[in-house]
This record gives sequence, structure tokens and C-alpha cells, in this order.
Amino acid sequence: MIRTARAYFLSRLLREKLLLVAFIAIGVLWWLSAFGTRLGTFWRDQRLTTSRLTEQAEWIKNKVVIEETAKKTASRLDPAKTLNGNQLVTTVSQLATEAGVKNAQTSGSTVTTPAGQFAVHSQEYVIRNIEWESTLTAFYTALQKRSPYISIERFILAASAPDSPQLTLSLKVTSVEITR
Amino acid sequence: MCASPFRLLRAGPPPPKVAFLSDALFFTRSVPVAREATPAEAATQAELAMESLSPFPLAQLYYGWFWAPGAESALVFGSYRRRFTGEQVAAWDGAELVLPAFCAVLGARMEPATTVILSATDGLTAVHWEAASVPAKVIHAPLQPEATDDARAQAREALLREVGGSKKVIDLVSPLTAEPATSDREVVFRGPDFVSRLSSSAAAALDVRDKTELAALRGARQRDVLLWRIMLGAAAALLLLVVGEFALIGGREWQKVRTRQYNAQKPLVDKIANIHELTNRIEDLATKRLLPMEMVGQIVGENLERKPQEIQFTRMVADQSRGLYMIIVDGKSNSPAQVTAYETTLKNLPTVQSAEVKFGQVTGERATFTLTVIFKPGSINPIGNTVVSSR
Repeated sequence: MIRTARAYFLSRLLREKLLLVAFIAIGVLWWLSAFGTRLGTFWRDQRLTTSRLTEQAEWIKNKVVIEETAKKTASRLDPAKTLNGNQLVTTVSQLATEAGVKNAQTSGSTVTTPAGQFAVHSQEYVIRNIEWESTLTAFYTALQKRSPYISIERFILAASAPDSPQLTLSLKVTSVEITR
Repeated sequence: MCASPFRLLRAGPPPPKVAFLSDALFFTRSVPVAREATPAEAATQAELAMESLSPFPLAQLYYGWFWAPGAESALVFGSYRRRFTGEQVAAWDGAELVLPAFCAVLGARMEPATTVILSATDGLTAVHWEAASVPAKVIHAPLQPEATDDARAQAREALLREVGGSKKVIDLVSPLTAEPATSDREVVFRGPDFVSRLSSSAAAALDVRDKTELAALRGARQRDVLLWRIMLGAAAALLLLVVGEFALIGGREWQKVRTRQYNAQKPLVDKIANIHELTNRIEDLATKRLLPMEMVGQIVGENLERKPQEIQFTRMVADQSRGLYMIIVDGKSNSPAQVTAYETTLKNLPTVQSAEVKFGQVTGERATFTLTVIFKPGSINPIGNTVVSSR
């Protein structure tokens, strides 16, 4: 069959041969270019999917270990002691009052970040005219005792006025809540 | 061009176009050639012999030769160009080979002392082999087209007598025809019970056309073959592309299956990742606490013994987002030298990873500064910490 096609091709006029070759070559190049683009896209997609599936397989492989670790970690927390947003505000205010802090004011509202069976709540405070020895240390110690149910995320302490023994504390506290 | 391409392909390749010329128009001679000659040397020797034999210059002849490697002779043949009319020459256009009719049998494997009698309307031609490879004699006996069988038989006998020494005689009643080419390496002529295979180079030497014209034709042929190979390559590329397209379709289906698998697993994996992230977060809350007061305690000392009297802190910042073990202290002093000395003291503490002072405004002996201290992870114990005095 190829010999027949060859004989047919060779029997054509030169211009016909050139046109045939040119048309087929252009067609091949055109198709090749389009195919190359589609192949490239497919190759990138499959590589991405491969890496994603590998990552997923890794997660799934470690599922039991992660769940056991999570259980172990969760068991360290007493669900009764975890605090929701309101409880965080009231507890910190109560701790401040107990420590003798009179000017504990919340700054803004509580920010809650839900994540599965847990929720993380944050609240900012501004406490003015607090004294280092009489109130601040007591308040700080009381807060730290509630760790890990309450933790300090930001702690900014500044003098209330130049050469004044009184301080202003900007505080951001966080609590973890077991929601389920 | 109008025939269906499939019908055309099914029909098979056409036989090569061969223009057979009347044997009557050619004179033939057997000339000696060196046994160990190469094809190029044999061609030169044949042309020289032809030049010496012919009363006309080679440029005025249509000539060719037949030689087989290792043969000690070559058969040369030629004809004065003017014996061919313009119409006859024009008919050669497009022919792959133009040769005397007897040349068709030259590729046959013959035993020595064999004579082949070719019959044509214008006469009989005897081709006689003394040795195996190259004929020694080619003799033509002209006949009238209306010659009787008896006349033909008489002419045949006369030819055999003239040739002499024939042990075997083969009569070819009908002329040989070229077979469709199965390769570029040979040209095959076939008749009833007779096959002649000529190599391409031998067939080219038999072609009687002008040698310059033949060289041009061969050049054009090579160009055409090159174009054909490009066509063939392009066709192969098209075939590969078709295969590639199918492979791509298959690949996309495979990819769809994998994407479905990815999407099906995603909720589960997200859940596991969330659990992992939260576990880490809770672990951090339990074990990696921000300890600002403890850090202050470290930089000033339990009884303020580390901080020089000349230095006064105005602001301190501890922020988990900046670093769990970092404290930034703004301060002022009326002795910048003491600040630098204080920085050195802090750097030498075993719990401190780095301590750096950057001066702000310096006016005379008064200076403001920012002190950044980074503690070594785990070096500060939150339990049983001593909260320092503010003095």
C-alpha cells in the first residue's frame, strides 16, 4: 500500500508534491502544537493530582496515630474547665477583681474561631493604672494558673505617665472550648 | 485524480514506465573490462570503448551498457540520435527507463551457452551468453511485419547459426513487461516462465538517454524521494498524534477517576488535618505559653541586680505572633554606655539566645532605645516563677 502511495506521490507534478508536503507539514505542526498544549495541561494536572493523592494517602495512613494523639491531648483537658467566649470574659474579669484590679475593661468584642469539636475565643483588655507589685503580679499569676484553658496571646505594658509607678496593660487572652 | 483513494491503494503500485526501443536501431558490441574493476571504472571503460567503436561522438549517440561485477566483458549498445524522431523522443517523457527491448532479458540468470530469442513485429533478436553473467552477442534479424511463420522460423535458425554454440535456446514469444516495483533496488521484467531482475544501478546504465539529462532526472528523483520521505515522516507523525490523542483521552479518563478519588477522600483528609492542627494548637497552649513576666524577670534579675539604675523601661511588648520567646522593651537612659553594657550582660545570660539594642533619640547623655531579647526555647520555666519587684 505504501508502495502504491509512493508511486502515486512520485508521479505527481513537483508543485503538487510541494503543496501536499506543505499542507501535511503545516497540519502536523498545527496539530502538534495544540496537542503539546493539551498534553502539558494534562501533565500538570496529573502531577498535581498525584501529589495531592500522595499527600492524602499520607494523612490517611497517619489517621489512627493522629486520632490517638488527639484523644490523648484532649484527655488532658477537662471539658468542664474549657471556656466559651462569655465564660472567658467573665472569668478574666473575676480574676482581675479577685486580684484587686479595678479598671479591667474589655476592648472590642470576643472573637471566636470555630474548628471542629473545638473553638478558640479571644478577647482584648485594657487595664489602666495598675500597680506592679500590688495587683499586676497577682492578676498575672491567677491568669497563668488557668493555663491551658486561658492563655495570654499578647502582653503590652507601658508606664501610665512619665515617672509614674502606675502602668497600663494591654492584654489579649485566649480560651479553648470543647464544643462537642 | 478522480479515482477513489481506497481503490487506488487497493490497485497496488503501477509498474514502472519503461520505453522499449526497437532493437533494430541499435548496434551492440561486447567489450573487455578489467575483472577487478569497480562499477565506476567499468562505466568509464564501457564509455571509452563505445567512443572508439562509434563513428559518431558520444554526444550524438543514445547509448548504454551492461556489466556485472566481476565480469570480464561488458555489452555496449548505441544508436545515432538522428534515427529517432522528435515525436519518439517526446514519448519518453515521464519514462523511468528508456532502453532497447533486448535489455529486458539481461538480468536473467543464464547458464553459459544459452541463447534467448526475442520475437517482435519488426524482427527477431538473439541474445547469447557464453559466460554466465554478461551476454557476448546480441544479433537482430529484421523481418517484415507481415512475415510468415516459416520466414520467422528461418530467421530464427539463421540467428542461432550466426550466434553459434547454443546448448540451450529460450524462445520468448511475447515481450517481457516490467513488474510493479517492490523496492528501489531492482527492476523486474517478467514473461511466461521467464524472469529478469536488474539491479537499479545496472538498469540506470542501460538507459540510453542523454547522460546529462539522466543525471538531472536522477537529481529530481532524489529530491522527489526526499519529499516523499518528508511526507512519510509527517504521515507517521500524524499517526503518532492520533495514538497520542487516544492516549490523552484515556489519560483524561484516568485523571477523572483520580480526581473523583481525591474529592471523595477530601472531607476525610480535611477532618484528619483539622484534628492534627487542633491537637498541635492544644499542645502549644499546654506546653508553649507566652511568659511575659517571667521574661521580664530574666532581663532585670530577681532583685533588679541585672538592670543598671541609669536605665528605665517605658514599655514592654510580648506577642505570640512575633515569637513565643521574644520580648521587646522600650526604655530611656541618661547613660548610653550603660545600655551597651547591659546589652552585653543580657547576651551572656545562659537563657538568652540573642539580645540587641537599637538607640532611638540620643541627646547629650540622654538616650531612648529599644531592646529586643530572644530567649532559648524551653529555657524559661513557668512553674514557681518569681515575680520581680518593680523597683
